[in-house]
Amino acid sequence: MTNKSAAEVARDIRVSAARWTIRANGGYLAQACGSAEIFASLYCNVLDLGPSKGPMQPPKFVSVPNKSRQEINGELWLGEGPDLLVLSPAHYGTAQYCALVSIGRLDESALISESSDGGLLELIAAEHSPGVVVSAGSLATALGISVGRAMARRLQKKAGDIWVFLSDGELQEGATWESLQLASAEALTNLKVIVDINGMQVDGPMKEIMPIEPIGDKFAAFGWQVFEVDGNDVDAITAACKKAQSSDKPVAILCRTKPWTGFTFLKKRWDDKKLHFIRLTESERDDLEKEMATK
Amino acid sequence: MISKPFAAALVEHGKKHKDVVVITNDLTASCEADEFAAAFPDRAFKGGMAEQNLALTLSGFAREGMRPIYPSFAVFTTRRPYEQIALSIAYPNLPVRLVGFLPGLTTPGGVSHQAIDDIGLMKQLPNMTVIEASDASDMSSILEQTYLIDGPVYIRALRGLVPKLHQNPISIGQSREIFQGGKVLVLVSGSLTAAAINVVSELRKEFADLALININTIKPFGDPHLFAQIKAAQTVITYENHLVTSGLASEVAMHLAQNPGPRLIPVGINDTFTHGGGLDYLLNFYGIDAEALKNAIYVAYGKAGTSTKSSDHIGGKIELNKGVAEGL
Repeated sequence: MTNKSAAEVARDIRVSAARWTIRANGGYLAQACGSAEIFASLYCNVLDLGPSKGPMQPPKFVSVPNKSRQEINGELWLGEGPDLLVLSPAHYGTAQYCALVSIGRLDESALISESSDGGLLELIAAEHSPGVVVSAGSLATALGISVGRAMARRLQKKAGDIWVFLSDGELQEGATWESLQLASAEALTNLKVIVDINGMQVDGPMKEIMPIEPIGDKFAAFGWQVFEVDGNDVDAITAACKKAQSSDKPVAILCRTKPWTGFTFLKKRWDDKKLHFIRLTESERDDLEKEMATK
Repeated sequence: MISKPFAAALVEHGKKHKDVVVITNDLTASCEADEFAAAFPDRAFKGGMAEQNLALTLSGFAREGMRPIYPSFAVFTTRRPYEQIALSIAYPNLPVRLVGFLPGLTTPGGVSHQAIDDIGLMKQLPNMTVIEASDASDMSSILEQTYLIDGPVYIRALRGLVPKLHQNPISIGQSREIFQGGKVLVLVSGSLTAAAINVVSELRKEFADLALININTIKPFGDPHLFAQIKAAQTVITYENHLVTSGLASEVAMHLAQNPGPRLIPVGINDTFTHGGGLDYLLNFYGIDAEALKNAIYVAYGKAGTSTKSSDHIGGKIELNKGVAEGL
């Protein structure tokens, strides 16, 4: 799939996401920086996706799905399995596109040419965006769809696991808990959830806005097996994922991440409680460009 | 342009009315409620990203005699908690104020963030009043002007840098006549009003009897002057940043079905979901830019329009409204 190590892929994700943010004068950089090791671990060490069926250069946007034409589906770039990765928080689209570039499923130039008007690499991803399965920019919808798919796959006796990438913010939505409840009631062993717990939401730190801890206890109370790891440690994430693959319950891997990882100015933004969408100030842009030169 | 007219109006509203409380999901600064929260910390609440429960909380506050306001992005104000709004706010006719920002294609955020159906969803609920702001004057005065309405109100709102087009405060139920005329009447609502003023003032050099009226109250629809103007026209053009099937055009169509007269040319989003991109690109791609309105006016006067192809702007850069807080 890729000869790169997970550490190399994580680095690529951060650098590409920073370039995107500089070029577009805005982006979801902290989401990409916090979750880089999660995507890298999944793609390099865990998922069995099969070769990409999507073109290295995505076609231009033509239309949303309609009666006369089925729009190109982002799932093509994830291959035909047996495993599937479903991205839930669509604000992580940039991270996903950058990961696909790093592992050789998308041409690097697409990050520029296809991320503006008429391109498929949308800022808040939709299901025509490469590597994106569900239009889930309204949060806490992808998990429920994935539960349905996992139930269908079990009925169809299909091999492989569905991995759902969740964000901790989505745990505030009641729909998430309805989905977890059904997965548990159905004892789905082909469904794995990996959660980026970066502790931030638009308004500020989650513990100040709407506390959701203890997350591990809540998942366990809903009948899920829980692993909790340092979400910026590739080895720890990988080891937990391997254990999850042989579990007899639905499994959640809770990844505690630092969304400021990689670039100095992000930590200041974390302290200032403004990390959700990065619109660079001039001095931030200068600092970021200088730091990029060393990467 | 006026910066954040809603933010200041919300603080003033809070000063004047002690029964006003504000509940946000996760978009407090993004929807200009942060100044209210700083001024009245005991009357500002965070409900979390849990919009269905939040709508029920609004119902609870209203049932205790308070006037709760919920500002969010319009998709999260209306679509996500729809059943809770219908049965727990609209049905008991409670004085809740639902404020929806990012109307239509004014966000680059794509299908999940573009509210193209919010007016339709809200106006089909019995008891609901539906208002759409078109400028900074509207955003400054809309809360005060709707305060006495003893039932739920949906306000389709504008944030950040908002153009000031009108001199007077909004008057609920009263349309604003911008250009008088006769034969062809353009009805515009919301964020496209500035564009309509430009187009109509330009084309009045060619068509002296081209008229323009700004509609702010979608439901209940119409006032005697508006109805008289519609009756006098040969063609009515509606121009909206919303699906034509359930917004302004559909209100006018219902009126015309009962009061036959002029023909209707609806300019709006035509029965499609939409995708993300810059504003100019999206307005062109979905056929609601200034050129689309011009074409409709030419058609109304029996002349061939100058049609524009829908994907000419591909490759443009996504521009963000610089007047808004972070968060799309």
